[in-house]
Amino acid sequence: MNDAALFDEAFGQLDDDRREQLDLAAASDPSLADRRARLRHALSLLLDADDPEPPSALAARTTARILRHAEEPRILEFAPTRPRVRWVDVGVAAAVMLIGMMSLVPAVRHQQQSVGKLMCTDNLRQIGLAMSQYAATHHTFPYVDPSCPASYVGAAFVQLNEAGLLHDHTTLDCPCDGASIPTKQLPRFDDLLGREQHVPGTCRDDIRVDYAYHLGVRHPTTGQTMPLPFNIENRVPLVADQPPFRLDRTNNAAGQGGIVLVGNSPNHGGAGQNVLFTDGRVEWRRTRWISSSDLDLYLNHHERTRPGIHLMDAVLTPCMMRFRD
Amino acid sequence: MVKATGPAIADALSEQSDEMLMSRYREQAQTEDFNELVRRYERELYRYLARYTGDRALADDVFQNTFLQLHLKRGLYEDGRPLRPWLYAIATHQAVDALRKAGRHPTVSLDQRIDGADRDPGALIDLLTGDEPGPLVEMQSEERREWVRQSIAKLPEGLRQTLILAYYQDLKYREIAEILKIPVGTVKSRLHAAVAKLAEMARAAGPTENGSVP
Repeated sequence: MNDAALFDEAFGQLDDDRREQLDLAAASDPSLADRRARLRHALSLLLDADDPEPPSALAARTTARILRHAEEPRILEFAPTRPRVRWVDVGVAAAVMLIGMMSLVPAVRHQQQSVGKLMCTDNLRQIGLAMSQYAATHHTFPYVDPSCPASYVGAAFVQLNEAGLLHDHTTLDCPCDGASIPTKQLPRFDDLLGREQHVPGTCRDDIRVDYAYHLGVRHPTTGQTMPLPFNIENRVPLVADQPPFRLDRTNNAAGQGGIVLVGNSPNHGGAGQNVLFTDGRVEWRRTRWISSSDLDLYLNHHERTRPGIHLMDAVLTPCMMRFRD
Repeated sequence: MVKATGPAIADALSEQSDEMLMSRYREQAQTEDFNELVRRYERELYRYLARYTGDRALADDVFQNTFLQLHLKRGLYEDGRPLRPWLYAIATHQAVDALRKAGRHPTVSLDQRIDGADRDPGALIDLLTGDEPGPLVEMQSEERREWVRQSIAKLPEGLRQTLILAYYQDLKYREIAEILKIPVGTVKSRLHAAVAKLAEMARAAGPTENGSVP
């Protein structure tokens, strides 16, 4: 047995078997017995203390206190059963909801833009189908001679409508521009012409179309403006989201009717524009650049709002402006 | 809460283990079961608290708070769990809170390294038995008890807890470890350190130059 056992015995930590072993060892080893006795004596001196007796009726007082505690009303019983809603609570809740909704706004807006872009693409595909049917019959795409008083670019869509090819005129409204065009039908071309002959410039606001249309091209040899031929070999832009523009309010029949501004179409917030090509395809373009032979969708090679100088130089113009030589 | 119980009922209760009484009190809330537990631990737990706090009035209050907590937390008692360590743990926490409120905040952290904790038991026994007859032998019984009481009160918090639980309350090392949430090895080392500290204090308590014992 070692000293640790002596120490553990002094503190009552030995079980019966070990204590018995210690007794046997001490009986056969006088020095161990002496050491054991001296340790007990030293600890009895060192740790000898009085045993405090509990005060009278401590148990009874304890149980009585617990009984009192059980009968005392709890703090929760004083709490109102229906807590009042304070304005600060409403404010915090509103702030949390507002922050949550604001975090969703970009995603929702992006989703709306994607859906709107797809609907715009579908509009242009329907317009492209109608244009192809018109061109197959007339061998040219719709066009109004600049000398005509009703030579609005939008009159091309009037012709399309009168040919019975535009079944739903809401296809002329881009769903992304945030404003819808009036639901009334497009005017008849004869009415348009009669009114323009009587008072020039009065019909411009009746042709509300969100898309720009091809302004025509110049004849390669004569230089005369002419409509875009149906049998053109290469694909060129035919209809697109209208560019940013500013109207000329002077009602000057000889003028263009306004100017095209820089930047992408406002229909899609300036992000780009959908473009319908003569082959019927619709493509999304982030800039006005079409190809090396058509540097600006809305201006010709001379950076003017005039017909292109060759077949590949397409110039698309807002419908409230006029065809020009 | 307090009801008169007949001798037969009292005998039946006395045969029940602490754990059985506590389980039944948790399930049935019979006041007789709880009162029996209070009676069983009245002397033992009060002595522990009186030694630990060094204040009998405070020990009285802590004792009542301990059983109040036991009553309130009866739903947390798990069947088969030894009641004694749990009760001592509650009592120790209540005593620490009471000492803190009374401004006698423990000055030594329980995690602090204790001088002499790694002392060899043989060397410790040599230290205890080497100075006989030491100054404590020369003291009268009452005087010595007062010295012991004051000396234990001066021990660091962790040493005092361990010494009282092991020596005066006769608890096993593993029970003390469970109460104080420390390993068994730490219990032993704290116990050795506490005894060594008291031995050093006793050696320093020798007669002064004028022959009196401090």
